[in-house]
Parts: sequence; C-alpha cells; structure tokens
Amino acid sequence: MTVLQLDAVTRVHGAGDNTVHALREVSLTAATGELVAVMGPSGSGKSTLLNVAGGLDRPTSGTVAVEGADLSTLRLRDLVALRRRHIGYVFQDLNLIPSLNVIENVMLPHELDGVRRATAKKQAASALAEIGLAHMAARYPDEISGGQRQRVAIARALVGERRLLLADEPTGALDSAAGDDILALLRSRCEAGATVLLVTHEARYAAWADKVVFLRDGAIADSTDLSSDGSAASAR
Amino acid sequence: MNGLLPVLRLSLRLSIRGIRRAKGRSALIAAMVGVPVMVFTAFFTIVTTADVSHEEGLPWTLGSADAKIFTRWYMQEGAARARPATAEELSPLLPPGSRLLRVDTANVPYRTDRWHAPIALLQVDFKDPLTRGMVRLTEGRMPTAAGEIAVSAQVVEAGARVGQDLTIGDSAAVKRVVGAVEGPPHTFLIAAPGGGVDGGRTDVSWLVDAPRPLLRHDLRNLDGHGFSAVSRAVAPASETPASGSLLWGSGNTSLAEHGPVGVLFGLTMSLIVVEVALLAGSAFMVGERRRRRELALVVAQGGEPRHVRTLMMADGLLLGALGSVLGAALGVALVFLLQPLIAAVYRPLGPFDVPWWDTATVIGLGVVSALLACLVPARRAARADTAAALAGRRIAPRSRRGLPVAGAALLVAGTAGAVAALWANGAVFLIGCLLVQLGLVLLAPTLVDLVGALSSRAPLPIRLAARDAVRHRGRTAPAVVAVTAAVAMTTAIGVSLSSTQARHERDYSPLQPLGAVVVEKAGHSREKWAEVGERLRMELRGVPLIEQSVLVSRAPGQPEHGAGSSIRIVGCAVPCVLLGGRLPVGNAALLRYLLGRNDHATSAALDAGKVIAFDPAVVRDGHVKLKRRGPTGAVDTITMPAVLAHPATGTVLKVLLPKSAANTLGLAVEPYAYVINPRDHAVGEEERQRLNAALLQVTYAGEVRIERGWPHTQTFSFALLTAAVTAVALAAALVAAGLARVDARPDIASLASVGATRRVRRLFTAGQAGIIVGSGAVVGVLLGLALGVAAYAMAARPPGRGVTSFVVSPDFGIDLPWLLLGGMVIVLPLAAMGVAALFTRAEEPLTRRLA
Ligand SMILES: Nc1ncnc2c1ncn2[C@@H]1O[C@H](COP(=O)(O)OP(=O)(O)O)[C@@H](O)[C@H]1O
Ligand SMILES: [Mg+2]
Repeated sequence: MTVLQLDAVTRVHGAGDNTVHALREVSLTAATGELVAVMGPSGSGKSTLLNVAGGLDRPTSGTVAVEGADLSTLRLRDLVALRRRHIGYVFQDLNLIPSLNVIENVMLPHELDGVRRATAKKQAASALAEIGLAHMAARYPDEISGGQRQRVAIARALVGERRLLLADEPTGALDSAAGDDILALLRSRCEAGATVLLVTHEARYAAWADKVVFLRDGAIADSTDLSSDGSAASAR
Repeated sequence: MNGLLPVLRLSLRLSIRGIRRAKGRSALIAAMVGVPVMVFTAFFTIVTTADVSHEEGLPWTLGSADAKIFTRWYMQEGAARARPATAEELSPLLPPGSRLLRVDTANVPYRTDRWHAPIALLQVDFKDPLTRGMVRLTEGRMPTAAGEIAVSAQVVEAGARVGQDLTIGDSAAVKRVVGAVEGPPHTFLIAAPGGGVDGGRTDVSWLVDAPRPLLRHDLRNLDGHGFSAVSRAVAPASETPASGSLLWGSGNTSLAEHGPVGVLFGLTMSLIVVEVALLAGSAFMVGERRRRRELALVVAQGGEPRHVRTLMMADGLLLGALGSVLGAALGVALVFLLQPLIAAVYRPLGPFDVPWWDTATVIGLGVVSALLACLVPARRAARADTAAALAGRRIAPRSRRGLPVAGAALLVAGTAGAVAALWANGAVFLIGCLLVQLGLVLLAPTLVDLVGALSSRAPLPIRLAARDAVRHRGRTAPAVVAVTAAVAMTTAIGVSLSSTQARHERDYSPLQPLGAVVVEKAGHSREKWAEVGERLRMELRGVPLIEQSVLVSRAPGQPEHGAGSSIRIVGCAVPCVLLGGRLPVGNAALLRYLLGRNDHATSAALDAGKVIAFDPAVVRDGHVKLKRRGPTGAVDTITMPAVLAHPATGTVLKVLLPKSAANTLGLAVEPYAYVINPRDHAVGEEERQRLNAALLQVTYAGEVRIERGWPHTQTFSFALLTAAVTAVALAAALVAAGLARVDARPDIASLASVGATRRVRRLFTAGQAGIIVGSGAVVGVLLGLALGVAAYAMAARPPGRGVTSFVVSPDFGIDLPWLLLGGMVIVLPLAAMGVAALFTRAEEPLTRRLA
C-alpha cells in the first residue's frame, strides 16, 4: 500500500533574480514497510523534499498525497491534524524539547491532539519500550547521549498510529557506531510496518534502504530500487 | 475539535520548565510586572490602614454605648464658643429610659524628659460598663482618683512610666501614672472624672445607653436641637463600607473624589501598564526567538498555530501571575513590617487592613499587562516559518515601518490637548497624555530609522548595532517608546517642580535677616515667655538675645479679647510687611540686627523716638503718617518724625518703631520673638538642635528656627520617581540589547570568526543599548518639556480662571532643571551602555550548523 506519493513536485523559493528551484518535478512513492533513502550533495533539495512530503512546506506545483489524502486539498487544521496523527519527523539534532523529559517528549503529539493523558502516557511508554529506552522515561534530553536522543525522537515519530517517518540526516550528528544503531532501528521499524523516508549523504546507509533516490539541483538524477536486488538483501 | 485543556496543561508545564531554565530573563519579566504591582499594593494598603473606617473607629468612640453626643461649637463674634450639652437638655431628646455618661476631652501638653505637644486627655468614669471597649488596659489599672492618669503606648514611648509621676498641662499639674492602655491611633491620656487640669478648652460629650438603637431620625432630631451625634446603628452617609476600596468605592475615600491627585494617579497607573506591556513585550520577544526551534518542533509534531499561541501565552500568564502575586504579597508584607516607620513619616495608622478588592484589581492588571505583552510575540510565533526555523535559517524581520503621519498627528493633538487642559480640567490633560503616548508608539519606528541614518559614520560595532536596530524595528521601537514615556514623565514633573520652586523662591520674602536664629512667642504666657528667654540666655552664655516686639491693638491693661484699634502706615505698598500684621517695635540692638551693620546716626534717631523707615515710600518730609481706626470705628491720623535707613539684610519689614511710640499711640507692646543677630553669633544646625532641646525643657510650643530663605526641598517622591525612570530605562536597554544579541548571534559568530575581539562584541551590545536609551531620552526630554510647562501652568493657575490671567503675569517663569535634563540625555544612555556591556556574556555559543 502506498503511504506517500509525490507527483511532479516543484518548489521554487524567492522571486526574480533570487529564484531558487529547490525541487524540480520530483515524483516518488513509498509503500508500507519501505525505507526510502534520499541522497545528494548539500543544497540539492533533500530537506525541502522532506518538508514538502510532511506538509511543513507547500509545493509550488505538483501534488503530495499521504495515506491517500492530497495535502493541497486539506485545510490547514486538517493538515496539521494529519501530521499529528500519521507523520513523524526526526531531524539531525535538537529534536527533543529540552524542558520536557523523555516520555513527555514522546507524548507530545498525543497531548497536542487532546488525547487523555493516561492514554498518551501508555502509548508513549510502549513506544519507548519498543526501542529499549523504557528506563530512560524520566530523564531530560540533556541527561542522555546523542544516540539515545535520536532513538527517542524516532520513538516519538512512530508513537501510536504514526506510520510515516521523515528523517532528515538523523545520523548527521552521531559517530558511525551510533549512526549504525539508528539505521538498524529504522530498518527494524520498517519491518514492523513503518514507512521511512531517510535523507542522508552517507553512501553506506544506502545499503539499508529498499529504494535510493539521488537528487541533484532539485531534480531526481537517479533512482535505484534495491528491494528485489540480492546484494541489498544480503546487506541487511 | 480536540480539547484545549491538555494543550494548556502541556503549555503550562513547558512554561514552568522554561522559566526555570531561563531564570534571569524570567526574573526580569516577573520583576517588571511585580514591582509596579508591589508599589500599588503597598500604596493602597497604607492608605487603607491609615484610614480608620467608621466601623473600626466605633469602639474607640462609643465603647459599648449606643451613641455619643458631642458638644456643638459655633462661631460668635469671631470666637469659637461651645454649646454646653447638659444631661437635662439631652434626656428629652432621647428614647425614654436612656442613660447618659459624661466624657470630657481636653488638649494638654505633657512633659517627660522634655515637653511634648498637646494631646487628648479623656476624662470619664471607666468603671461604667459603657466605656468597655474604648481602650484596652495593657499594664497597671485604670485611674480612679483625681490625681491619677493612664497613658497610651505612645506616651510610654515618649518616656512616661507606670508608677511614676507625669507633668501635664500649662499649669504643670503632677499626676501619678497608674496604667498603660491601647486605643485609637493618636497619642492620648485618660483620667477619672475631675482628673483633668485647669485652663484650656474642654469638650463635653455624652455616651448614651438607650433601650433601642438610635436611628437616623433620632440623629436628625438631635441635630435640629443643635447637637451632633454618632450612633452605632447609623453609618455616616459619606463613609464607604468596611471593605472600602479606593478603586471601586464611591465615597470620600475613593480616588474619583481626589481630583487632580486622582488624575495624576490614573496617569501614572496607565503609564505603568503601557510600560510593562511594552517592556515585557520586548522581553517576550527574546523568548520567542530563543524558543523558535522548540516551537517549530511542536509544529512538526502536529502543533497548530493556536497551540503555539497557547504555548507563548502560558509564559505571559505564569510570569504575570507569579510577578503580580509575589509583588502584591511583598507590598502587603512590607507595609505590615514597616508600620511603625510609616506611622512615623506619614501619619498615625489604624489597625492593619488589606484592601482585598484593590489588591485583586492590581494583581489582575498585572496579569493582563503581562498577557498583553506576550500577545504580539505569540502571534508572531504562530505565524513563523517552521521549515526555516528548523533549518536554522535566518528569518527576515517583518516589521512595520510605523505610521509617521498618524503618529505625528496624534502627538500634536495630544500635546495640544494637554495644553488645552489649562482651560478645561485634569481629565483632558490625562487624555492628552495618553494620545501622546499612542502617537509615540506609531512614530517610534520612523525615529529608529532616523537614528540608523545618522550612524553611518560611527565605528563598526556601533554602526552594526544601529543597522540591526533599524532592521528589527519591531523590537527596538517598543523599548524606545518605553524610555521616552518614562523620561517624558520625569522631565514633565521635574520642570513643573523646579519652576514651582523657583517661583516660591522669587516670591519668598524672609521676615528675618538670613542666618538669624528665631524663637517665636506663639501662645505663651508672659511668665512662660520670660522663662524661655532665661533658658535661652543660659544656653547662649553671653551671646546677646534680642527681643523683637510688636504693638498690639489694645491699650495697656485692656483684656486680651474684644475690639481693639488697627493701625495702617500711609503710603505702604501692599503687601505692607509687618510682624504678624503688627507694627514692629525695638531698640538699638534690634535695629542693628535688621540693618546688618552699626549705624550710629540711625540708632541715635531711634533712641530719640523717631520712626525708622526701610521703605522710602512711607516717608514724606521726614515724617511717617499712621492711620488709626479706634474700637468705635473712628479714624484719626498720627504723624511721627522718621528717618530713612537702608538695611543690608534685605529685610522686608517697612518700619521699626521706638518703644516711646507705644505711649504716643496709646497701645500696648507685646513680645513677638527672641532673635540672635547672625553678626553676633552664627548658629549651625548642631547648636540649633541643642537650643531646641533646651527649649523643650521649658515649653512644648516653641521651635528654634534659623532663617534660611525658601527651603530647598528636593522631594523624596521625586527622587523615587527618578530612580524608577532610571530602572525603566535600564530595563528597556537590557531587554532590547539582549534581544538584539539573540538575533545577531550569527552576525556575532561571523564577526568572531573573522577575528573580532570580545570588545567589539561588547560594543555591539552597548551600542544597541545606547541607541535605544539615547534616542528615547532625547525625545522624552523634548516631550516632557512641553507637558511639564503645561502641567506647571495648570498648577500655577489661580483657581477658577483661564490661562490668560497668568501668562501675562511676570511671575510666570519657567525654570529648567538642567542637572536632571543633562543627566537623562547624557548620563542615562551611558549608564545603559555600561550595564549592557557588563551583562554581555564573554563566550558566545556556537551557532547551529545548518542541516
Ligand atoms: N526558504 C528558503 N528561501 C530561499 N531559499 C531556500 C529556502 N529553503 C531552501 N532554499 C534553497 O533551496 C536549496 C535546497 O535547500 P535544501 O533543501 O535545504 O538542501 P539540502 O537539504 O539538500 O542541503 C538550497 O539552495 C537552499 O539555499
Ligand atoms: Mg538539508
């Protein structure tokens, strides 16, 4: 089942001489259980792609659909609600709100949604348990390691009903061992039914993906489907 | 629609943690809200506590009686006379079966280690149950015999002791102190019936024990017969209830009744709310910048704009509530702890009393102004570009360029309104001031642009600061307005005060030569006055004590009261200055004192019985003419030989009469004062106090005074105001400079990376502060000058008349307080720069790398 579908998405910043084509006619799909890696040099439009995919940014032209819903037809309130219930973001760092502890950070989407505190807490606890950080629930972000922070962010991105995870260089601020751990976690979440769109510029992580999309100057330069490829399977 | 409650809870939790993390900024905002709340709460509490409400005062007045009937005083032939209320007279006017208890009240001085001014002496039979509750015995027992008294705590404080004797009254009667009592907030003594002292005026009143409460019609009936009364059952019409509120009340204790003072108070109050909103607003803007990423994360997790607004408003709510409640508590606590001090410098206080409604209103205002303050930052945060915030990309400030034309129009209209208030009333002045403030808010961005344009030649850090200030008008402008408003207010009050002071100085004409020591006779008897002279001579050890005398309007031996003669000097311009309206009489020593030098010729003339004139207008052909109007109304003219003298002391007296003139005119001579010639002996403050202490050994009603011209009183409240303005300006500078630093972090990081020193970074911050406070102060002073002149003109205006009557008057002069103005334009900005530079943290955190 297609969770995310981008059709000929173009995003232009600025006007006149300052025009920047951050994305040019980008089309892309991600299905349930898939890990799609987006690669490319700095400034190639990777972050823009992710922002557009999650509705944080709106395309200049083209359509974005999440779980079958065309984002451009949604009212702002419904778009935000969709993000709250179905889409999780993980950024390079500083994902967590420093004044909330770990479990409160994971509860955040539900609390914004007006879910009862007890329910929110139960779901957050189980999301934390799934990534093996249940014992860190009461700690504050600056009391845990960078790798642990990213894991908490992932737990939050997938708490409750959320199944689409948009990760913008989640390993960018980590050393390679911790980075590998994060990739392993993302991979295992995909096995459990999540869909992950992963922005990275580290080539070796491509091996973990089902599909790799190369961006250059805002356009897709190359796209490789690894899911049927034997070498990719062996890399897991 | 999902519930907002969980979000509110989340917001509060985030706020609380955020406040803990940014302790300094939070404390600053809380203080901005809390300090004014504290001041106002303290003010209201003091006023309410000092104000003894009808209900609070009842037990002291009535004891356990139903009513009290007072002696009615009335004027007859220029003298106050009492209508004695006797029990026989009163009984028919009261419900049958009423019982009366007589209370005598006199005013008597008393002596401990020195004499004290007269206080109330209450004489009543305290064995009577009607007196129960009037006072509370704290030590010893109640007086029962004529020679016994009990004293209040204040008298004990002055040195009276239970078991010892106390001298009271002009006749210096000695009484045995048998008890100490507590009662109304005035110093008093109590005695058994017949335990008073001779002489002086005694008021008689009656406590009433009636079979039924005395109602309004009973009081009206009594009033019709010439007696005033207080009844337990009838609250006076003008009184507010016990929960009296200055803000909400309607009676004589409400602010609305306080006229110009109320207007000024309202002005201050509104100014403070605006100020808090502006300043705290800037501070919240800092918070918004700091929390930008946190808020973007919330949006990324599915937060709606209203969630973001709630998150931001929670800060305002919490800090506002925290600051207000703490401020109010502190205000009340301060007043409670400082009661003795307040009673000493202000006036006696009643029972401690917190005006709950007023306090709640002030707290509410504090919270509202904090919420107002974070309204704009909250809206900005809700509209912020999330993707940009997440990428750490610089967000171009979108701030209004202001509305210069509308602003200028409002400014002009407001100033015109304030000036027009001269013909109208204080409320118009208030409205004018508010319009001016509004105009300033609209004009400020343009002003900031102007400053930016002026700074193109300044050194790099300052130039950078100015450019930055212009780019971020949205945060610079409110801070500038805050400084402007505060400075304008101080300037206005300063100009008004110093002009008033200058006018008083011009108008003041000292009766005595400068530096002279003066003890006026006041109400002393001849014997007491002689005793005073003796005592002073003893203290002075050989320095001549000169007696200044006057001619009184009666013949020698005539009784004190009753019709006398009045005397006028022909040709003496009004105001014809005499001593207490009477002709001064004196000898050669007094002449030398008035002239300020030895003048043998004039002295000889005085000895020869000639009048000495100090004003050429009163001498004609070597004579002075006096017009005497006798007791019967007959007028005759007396001509006396005179010589003209030119005093070197600037005395404003017109003439000095020889002693012999008294015989010529057939009038008695009375002492007026003892003086010491400053040329004989200069008395300093220390010696004055010693002389004063000696004087108080003899009498309560005298004061050793030194003629110093118009007293220079730099009022305490003005100093307080100046301090407050300084605080506001510094806070504005700090907040705005802090905000600038948050915004300019990338700039500063770039500066640092190209090798800029810490000095440059400090200068940048100092520059921001300087620009804000400097431009605010200059505009504030200009504005304040206009408002101050208007306020002064309004105060100097003769009541009930328009502006024309004094604008043409030569007396109307403006005196500018240069020191204050210079201080605000030069020192204040420099101080702000210094403080801002000091607060600059040495180490800059690295800016976030862009993902
Ligand atoms: N809000 C914006 N305004 C102007 N240009 C932008 C904005 N956002 C992104 N860009 C530009 O779009 C291009 C793509 O940016 P981005 O998606 O962040 O690239 P990447 O994440 O691959 O480094 C860059 O040239 C960037 O400067
Ligand atoms: Mg990027």
